[in-house]
Amino acid sequence: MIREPLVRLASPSRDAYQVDGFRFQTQDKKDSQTSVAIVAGLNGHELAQMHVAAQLVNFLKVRQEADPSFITGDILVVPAVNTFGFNMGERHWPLDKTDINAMFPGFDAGETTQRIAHQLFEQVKGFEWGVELEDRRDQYDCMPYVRMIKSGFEDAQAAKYFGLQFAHYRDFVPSDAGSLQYNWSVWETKSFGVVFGNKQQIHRDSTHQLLDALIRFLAKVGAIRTQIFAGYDTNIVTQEAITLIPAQRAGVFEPRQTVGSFVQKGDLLGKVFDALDGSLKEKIYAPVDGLVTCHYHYPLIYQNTIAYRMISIE
Amino acid sequence: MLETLLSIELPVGEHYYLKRHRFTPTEGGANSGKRISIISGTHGDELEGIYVITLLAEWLKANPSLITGTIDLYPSLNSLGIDSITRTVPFYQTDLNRIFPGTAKDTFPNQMAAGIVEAIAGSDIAIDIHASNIFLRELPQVRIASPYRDSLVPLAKQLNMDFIWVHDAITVLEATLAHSLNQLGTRTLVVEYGVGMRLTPSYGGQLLDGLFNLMAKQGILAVPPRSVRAPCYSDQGEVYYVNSPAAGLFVPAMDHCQMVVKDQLIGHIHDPYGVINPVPCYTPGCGVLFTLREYPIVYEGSLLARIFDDQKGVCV
Repeated sequence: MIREPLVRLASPSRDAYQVDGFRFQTQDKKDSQTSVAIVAGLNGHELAQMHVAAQLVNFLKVRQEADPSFITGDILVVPAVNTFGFNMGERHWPLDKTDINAMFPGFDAGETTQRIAHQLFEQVKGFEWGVELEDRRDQYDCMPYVRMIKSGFEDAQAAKYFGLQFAHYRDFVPSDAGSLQYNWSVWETKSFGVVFGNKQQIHRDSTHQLLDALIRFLAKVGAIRTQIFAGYDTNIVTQEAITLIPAQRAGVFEPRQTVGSFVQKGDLLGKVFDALDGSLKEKIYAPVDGLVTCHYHYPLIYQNTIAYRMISIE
Repeated sequence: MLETLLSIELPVGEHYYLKRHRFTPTEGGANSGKRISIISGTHGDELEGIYVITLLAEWLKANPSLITGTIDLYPSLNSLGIDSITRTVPFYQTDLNRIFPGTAKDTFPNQMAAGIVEAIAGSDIAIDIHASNIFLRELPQVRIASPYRDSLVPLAKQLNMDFIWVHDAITVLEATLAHSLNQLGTRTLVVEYGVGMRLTPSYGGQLLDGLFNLMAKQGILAVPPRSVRAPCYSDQGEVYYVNSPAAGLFVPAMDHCQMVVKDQLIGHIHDPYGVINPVPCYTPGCGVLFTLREYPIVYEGSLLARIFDDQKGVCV
């Protein structure tokens, strides 16, 4: 394992800003020569993503030390990009509040986060596979899933290599334009977003589940030599299979179904109470049969906000 | 007439309202049928537009007989942000001007965006007033994405601004209000001037003159067109960017909005501990300094200044 600085920038008053990468390379030229870059922590709230990536670094290091032939490709893991944000609970770049993950491919003569994106992208582009670990930007608790953006260079079937229950295969939207995942695909890296975790929390079970998913992916693409359980036969779902269920009223939201539950049309999903007098304002019911993939997880909900997301398979 | 176009219930005893103040011709008065929407407050830390809209509303209220079209004023789109010095939509930390056109059944910011587009679409002209941010002070300017150059530049020239900046349409700008409205056929100009969290009354007065002129020429106000300044036009020159070469405290050596020559000192970046000597920053070209950094703390790459060289020989 080689630990190397990928991005470095002086700061006005605090320690220098540095992004470290952990590289694992096969020494055997007969090996697959596949290459995988895994990047986490582009925003400073992605604690679970950073932790899973760091656990992957440790796993690869220990296994490589025990058996040098374990690594059969070229793997680069970046557990945390917005380290300054992590250290002060900020999602975005702490000075100007810009989103590093909206700045790719970056610009070497541009503003600070454009320069960070540029320096990082120079290090992570050109890989055969790119995996971005991320949380949802909104207030949802979701089943872990793989996200693919239609770009003309995605490999939808390879989304199954992670062995998660579903992969969301969706159209490009304008806000994707500056993301690492989308820019990887523009530069002909087959890229995935792996979306999981609650904001600013780490859960042991999901850490293990996601670590397994990454190890499974690395094994399937030939970057490591190991045995691992097969995981789920991933359903690839498009927007048509997804049902969005809003809360018609605002107030205190009480979810009644957990993510991963199969529910039938008419089942109670949640309730909304008046925040001040405690009266019941709304009961939210499932409009279809299906799998609950996400629910709103903050106790206060705004009117018409999506309370549940479900997928249905015909 | 004060109208409520969108109401979203908030969790604890409050509503978000999208409001506009609509002025129409008096009964029996001339009516061109034209409609203009004047917008501010997409970003909660930008207050310059609120000032101009306030002045305009007061004038329209006092002069109803001079109104010959429909004038819709939207001073405070992101009202929660404005009332809390928050650039983004509070709680969601979402930049409202990066999620248009929005969707009606989604997060609060998305609902706001969808409601705003629905309310303004159909206007003949929209003026979306911005005030930079807390970091940069800007000369009065109109920004236009290049695909809309032909239809918008003639309008922009009527606005009494100092600079018209036509820039390439990078994809991220597709998520702005102006892009959504232009796509829907409402000719929308983005006006930018001043600095975040502050008012620059002289610039406000300058834009107000431009709005009177534009509305007079469009048949929306029965007032004589105002004399407006001839703006610099970015297609006839070059924009130079000056980014900080170091981290530290930026202390400017020149004032905003002045003519500069090449290699003139803009300012120094100081090391707060005094270990590293101050790093001087110089102008890369000559022209008008239309952007100057206001907030002193900088990292490498922080924008310090922008200069427009109209290549008409002022630099010789």
